[in-house]
Amino acid sequence: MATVTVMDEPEHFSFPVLAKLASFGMMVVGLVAFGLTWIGGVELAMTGWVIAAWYCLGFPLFATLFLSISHLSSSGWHVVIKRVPEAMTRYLPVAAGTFVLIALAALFSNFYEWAHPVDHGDLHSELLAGKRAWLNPSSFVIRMAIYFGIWIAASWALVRASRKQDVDGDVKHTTTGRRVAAPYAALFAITVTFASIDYIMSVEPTWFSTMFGVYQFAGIMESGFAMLALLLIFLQQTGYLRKSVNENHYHNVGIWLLASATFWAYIWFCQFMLIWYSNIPEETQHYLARWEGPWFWVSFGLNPLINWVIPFLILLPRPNKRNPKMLAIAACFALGGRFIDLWQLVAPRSHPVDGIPHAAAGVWTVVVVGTLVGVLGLFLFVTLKALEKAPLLAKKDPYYVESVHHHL
Amino acid sequence: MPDEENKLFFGVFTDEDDCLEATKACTEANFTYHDVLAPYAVHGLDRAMGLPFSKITWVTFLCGMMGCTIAFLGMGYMSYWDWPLNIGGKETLPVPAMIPIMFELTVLFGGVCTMLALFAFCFLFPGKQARLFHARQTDDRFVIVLEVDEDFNEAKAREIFTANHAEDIREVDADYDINSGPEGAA
Amino acid sequence: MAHHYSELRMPLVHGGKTMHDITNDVCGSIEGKPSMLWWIGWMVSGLVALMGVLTIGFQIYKGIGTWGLNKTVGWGFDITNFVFWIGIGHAGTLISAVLFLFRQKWRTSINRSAEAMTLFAVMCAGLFPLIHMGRPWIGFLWAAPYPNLRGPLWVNIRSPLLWDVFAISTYFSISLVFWYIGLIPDLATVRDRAKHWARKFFYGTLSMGWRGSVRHWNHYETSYMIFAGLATPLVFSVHSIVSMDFATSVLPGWHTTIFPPYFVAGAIFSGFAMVLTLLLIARETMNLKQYITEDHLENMGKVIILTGSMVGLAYGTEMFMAWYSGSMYEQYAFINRATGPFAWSYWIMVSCNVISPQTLWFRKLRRSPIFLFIMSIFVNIGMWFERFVIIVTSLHRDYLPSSWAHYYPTHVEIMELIGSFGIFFFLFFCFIRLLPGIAFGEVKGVMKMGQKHKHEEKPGNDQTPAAEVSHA
Repeated sequence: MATVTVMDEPEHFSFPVLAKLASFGMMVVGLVAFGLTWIGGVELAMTGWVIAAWYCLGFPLFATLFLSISHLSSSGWHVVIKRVPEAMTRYLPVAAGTFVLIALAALFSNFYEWAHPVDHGDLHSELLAGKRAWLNPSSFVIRMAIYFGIWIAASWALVRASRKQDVDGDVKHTTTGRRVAAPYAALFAITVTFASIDYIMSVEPTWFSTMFGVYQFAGIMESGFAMLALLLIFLQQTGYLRKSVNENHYHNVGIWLLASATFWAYIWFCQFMLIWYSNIPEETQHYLARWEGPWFWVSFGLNPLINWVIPFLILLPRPNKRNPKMLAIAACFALGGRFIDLWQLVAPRSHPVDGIPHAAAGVWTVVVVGTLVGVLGLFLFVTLKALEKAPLLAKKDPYYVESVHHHL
Repeated sequence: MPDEENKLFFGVFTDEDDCLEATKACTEANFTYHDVLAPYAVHGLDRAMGLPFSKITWVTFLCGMMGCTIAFLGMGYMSYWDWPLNIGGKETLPVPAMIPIMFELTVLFGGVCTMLALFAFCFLFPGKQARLFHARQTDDRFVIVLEVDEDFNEAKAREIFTANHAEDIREVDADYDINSGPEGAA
Repeated sequence: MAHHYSELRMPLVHGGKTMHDITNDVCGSIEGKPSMLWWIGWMVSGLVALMGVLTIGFQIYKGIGTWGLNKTVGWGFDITNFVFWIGIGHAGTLISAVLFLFRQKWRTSINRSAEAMTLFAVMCAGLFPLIHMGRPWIGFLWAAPYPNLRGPLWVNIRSPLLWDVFAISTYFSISLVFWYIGLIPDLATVRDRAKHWARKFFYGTLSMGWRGSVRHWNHYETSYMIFAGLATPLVFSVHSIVSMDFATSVLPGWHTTIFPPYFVAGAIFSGFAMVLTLLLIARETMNLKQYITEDHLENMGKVIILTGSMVGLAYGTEMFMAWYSGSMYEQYAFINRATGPFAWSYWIMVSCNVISPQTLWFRKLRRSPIFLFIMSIFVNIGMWFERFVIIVTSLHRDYLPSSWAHYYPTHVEIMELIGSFGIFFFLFFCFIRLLPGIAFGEVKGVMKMGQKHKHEEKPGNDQTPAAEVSHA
């Protein structure tokens, strides 16, 4: 390396006290809100919890895929920011903890209608019985263990290779990363497809859509890039990476956010349009529950508006992608949109179970958001804590020089 | 008219990096560019010349919006206003079914207008005679052409060109073109 | 500007070429006399194309009855060929646009021929719905949105077949524009090298007086970026809309929501396979091994595993969801695919599309031109059968057992399929003779990768990657 510019900026991140307090505050808010939702019953509480846990699981999943894609496409620009996704993956074991509650809900409650079906002797019961081979609590828990096993193992291997390279700067660790990334990308696709079916789609067990895994994948990517952008901006605001990360890196993240938001809109539209067009009752039941009443404005108004239209219009002009403020605004919309998307998927049900209150109603909405805030606080705490563990810049990465001089 | 127009002063380079460095130096020295010529798009050369970002994006955006609007209004006219029909029980203004064509026309109008705008902005048309300063200007030679105006400092220009390994430096008439006959030919 | 490349970057072009060498190599192939191999290829494909055209003439004269379609199986080879060729047509724009946006610099050696291939494939694709109309000369009156001859009645804007008309004509126009814009600077180079007046006139007219002014490059680069940005969603939309021809129906096996992204992945898969087939031939016959190197082949092999696995995942998801749906019609459609009278086509599809690309996980095989050539042929066959399976197996046994039927293609259909390959290859052979087959202007722009700076040390050798050099 002839010239690697020396940066006069802190090499190690230290978790600001204020941020620590804020994340604790969020967790307290979350605990209180989650406690309150139990007044509305286990089903309401779990509605909030499933949304929050799945929402935050998306970030580390995105991070593992982002690192894998970067390896597979031999990309160089991401090296100066790669510690952030690496830290995000450290949330995975904690996320497994949050999912234990979902496993318990499947084992011991009626949140998932298929878990303890009551035979009414009608077609609905017959349909559920036909799916028993897949939708039953014990295989649900086993699958959960497998998914998390794969995700945690891959994230561990990817991060380990990167850490080892910090020490000896050997190119072979890049090769190791690439070897992990290729099979993981395939496993990721399979696990995310089935995990989306298990946790979200099976809330309405008689409804099905082959697109569903891709739909959740799109949402995970969009919210993941939004979170990555916000974390980067946060780091720069608190005095880190001031020189090494510049508007060119923001530009790339902005392009990715724009592209993933548009991909989400494409998948969202195709799934809806095909079901609307064919008008087959077993599929339309899902959209019918959202087409009528106040849900319409959430599902078909707010959802595409803040998930795609607003971020798209903000990020379309080149200067906005390079401007941290505009990027942050777009990212906030995308993160809000992800909540709206999951909320309108989980809360309304085409066949409401006895005892489930209308989870959309007034004050409960606010409380459900509270649960999300809590888990988000947990995610931020774990991620920022993990960020302290390694130097912020992977200076011995063979692509480091390209990343520092990245120019668009 | 050679008498009224400025003479030109140009240097020929064989490497993009040399041309880029020389251009940066010329911009810094406030020379007036007649043109800079490159056989391929050199990253950053347009900025080094001090050119602003192309405004062509606006043409694309506006024409794309126009295509989208035309598609929506056209389909609305056909299916809602002029001849409403019940097809498969769908609405007479079936918005989800209109989106594919709206998207296609956005892209079609945006794309074709971008091409036309590119030709207009660059004043290109079929059969236009290209003006060449060097026979290999579209192959592997980079040419920086400066205007010899009142502020022109030949010594300085020569110094910049030589420092950046120019293979040929010369001053020529304003209508110099190697395509236009023996007196102009190199 | 300094070039900051990682030490891991290898030179994209081998043989230590200078820029002038590149111009000579690429322009030389269209300036000199064509080789014997080219003449043979041109003549053979021309004859096959002629056979195809004559068959089409016969079919139009006699009518659609010359095909093996019946009341139950209303779509057979015709729409299979249409979807197949449209799919092939996706790789060109993908390479040009998506890889451009991803800044995958290896695209420069292959994008020109891939884009040309796109145009020819879309032409072949457009042919089939047109001749399916039976009386194609009035096809315009049926497909264009203006009050047709049956009173002031408009086209049905709800029909995915009409969306197809818009999608494919837009796709063809934008691909043509994108390709032509990319060609202009290279055409100018050919013009400036031309000696004969006819060549001067031909390339002079096409190159529109381009002279490489940086003022023009400024607009040019911006518009190129715009085209890439427009073409990327366009690629997605076109094959999504083609998939909606099936997915908007209520037919089991046709109606499934994953069709749009699954068709797009399949299209990229088949398109890359066809690009590989063509480039492996071009690289042997036109002596382009130093431009289309084993690294290029390996990268394309990787795209093939990626998209092949996506297609495999989609097959799996469809199967799973058919079971999970609990709908007996869905379940039967998929059991029938795998075990019914057309099971042979299903298993050809699975083995060619899902199983065989998995061999490309091995680096050695990814870098072997012969193996890749065989693989690309397998994938082409598999992807043709995929469309055949989707169309015919779903149609031939639908909800009503009394209407179940079988489908046997006639000689006319088979000859039209072969003829479309003739037309495709004939056009491609014409293209590589008339226009620069490698975007050498763009190749020159990425020459610095993996090379040392010329004034500091000697130019990088073709095999060893140069160490990172910068003078920031």
